[in-house]
Amino acid sequence: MLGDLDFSPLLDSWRYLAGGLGITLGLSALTVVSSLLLGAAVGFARVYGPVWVSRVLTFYIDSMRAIPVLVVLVWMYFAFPLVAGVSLPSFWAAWAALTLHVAAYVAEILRAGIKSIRPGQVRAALALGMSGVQVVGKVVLPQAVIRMLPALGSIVSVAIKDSAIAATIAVPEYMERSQTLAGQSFRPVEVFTTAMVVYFVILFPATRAVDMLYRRVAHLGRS
Amino acid sequence: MNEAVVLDYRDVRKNFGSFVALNGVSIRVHKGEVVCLIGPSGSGKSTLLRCTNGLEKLDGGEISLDGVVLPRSETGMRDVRRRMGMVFQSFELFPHRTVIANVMMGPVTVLRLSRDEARQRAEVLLEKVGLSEKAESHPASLSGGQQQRVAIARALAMQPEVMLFDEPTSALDPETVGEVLNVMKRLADEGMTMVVVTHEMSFARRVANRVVLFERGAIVEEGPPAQIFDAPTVARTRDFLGHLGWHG
Repeated sequence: MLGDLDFSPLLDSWRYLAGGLGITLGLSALTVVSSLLLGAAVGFARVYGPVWVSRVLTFYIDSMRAIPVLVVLVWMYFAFPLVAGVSLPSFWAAWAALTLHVAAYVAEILRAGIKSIRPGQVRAALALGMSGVQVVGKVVLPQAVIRMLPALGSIVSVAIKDSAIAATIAVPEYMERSQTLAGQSFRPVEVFTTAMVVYFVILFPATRAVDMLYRRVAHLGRS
Repeated sequence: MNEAVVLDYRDVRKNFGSFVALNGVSIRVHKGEVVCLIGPSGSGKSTLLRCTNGLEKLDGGEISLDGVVLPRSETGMRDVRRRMGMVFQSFELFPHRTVIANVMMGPVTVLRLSRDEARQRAEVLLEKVGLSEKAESHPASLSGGQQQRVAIARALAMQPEVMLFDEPTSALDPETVGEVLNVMKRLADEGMTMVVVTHEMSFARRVANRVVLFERGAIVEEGPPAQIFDAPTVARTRDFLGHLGWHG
């Protein structure tokens, strides 16, 4: 069985797959950036915003935690156009769905990071005469971000991995092209094993790097 | 004492829900005076300190600094806070900054001093608390006593008119208490006005001009250390000191 492995279809179609990988990386990078930005805005507004804003955002975060990302994605692609009267190209529908989903987790990570800084640190900063913005920017956030690193690292890798579900709405990314190639070549073992290896090779060093970075700076976030 | 009144507490009141933390406290702190607040836990000493620099809002009465009533607004208090230094029981150094950066933080962010000026000021202060060689270390690598001395330097960097100490040695190992108290003693000798919440009775006795005993948010007795420790006029004072094992 193992002697029958034939990777030649992958070699023959490497450009096709590489193009898909490019789209995967592009979609992932855009999603990471936009969900960090949106998540930071939501997290800040939830912690420091007025009560009604905080309530609305809590509802958004809870919904995203309760709904599978696949459902958000499919809704964004098939239902959103009917509701909003604008249809999104599949790539941008995937980007929007992934961003909405991942940002909710980023917001929760930020909130937990901020809340983990003990009140005495804020008091000490205020006692020096700092403004609220200075307290957050110079004392709370730098420590919170360090404490958030492991969780942020995980959510970034989740964002990259989740980009694979964009295949379900036919975004021509790496997973979608792997499926196509597997179907055409009748070589699913080779094609999907390669897919596993490709994702692993991209993500494993990234998670290791975040972990090492965290171990080097963790002491700076301990108060 | 003929010196000017720096801090004037008039009938200060503070509640936390139904708990009365301060039940009408009046104290005058004169320039260059060291006032030690003693008393059981929860008696309101620390709350009074926090009210002094606006970390807690008053529910009644008022506090004046140099004859001017402290504002109630947060922005107004910011200007007042830079004139008061505060030292906390748990040090509260900023762990992500080096020792010298901690001391420079106030001057740079609040007083808008140039980094060079702030660094010079910080170097002088670290020298003063005996920690010049730790300037580039991070707080986590320092002992408790060293951290607290840095915290004192950080507060002094704002060149405050008055220093507030909130149980500065309560979280320290016994062997490092002395080094912190020595720094405070020297500060007192230089004429700094100080309000010190403490359980260190020997420090209060040696350094304070006046000792104030608190209980349940009110003053039980106040007077010079000799009176409080050797000839208390109130039975409760004898009681409290007896519990601490103080025998004259």
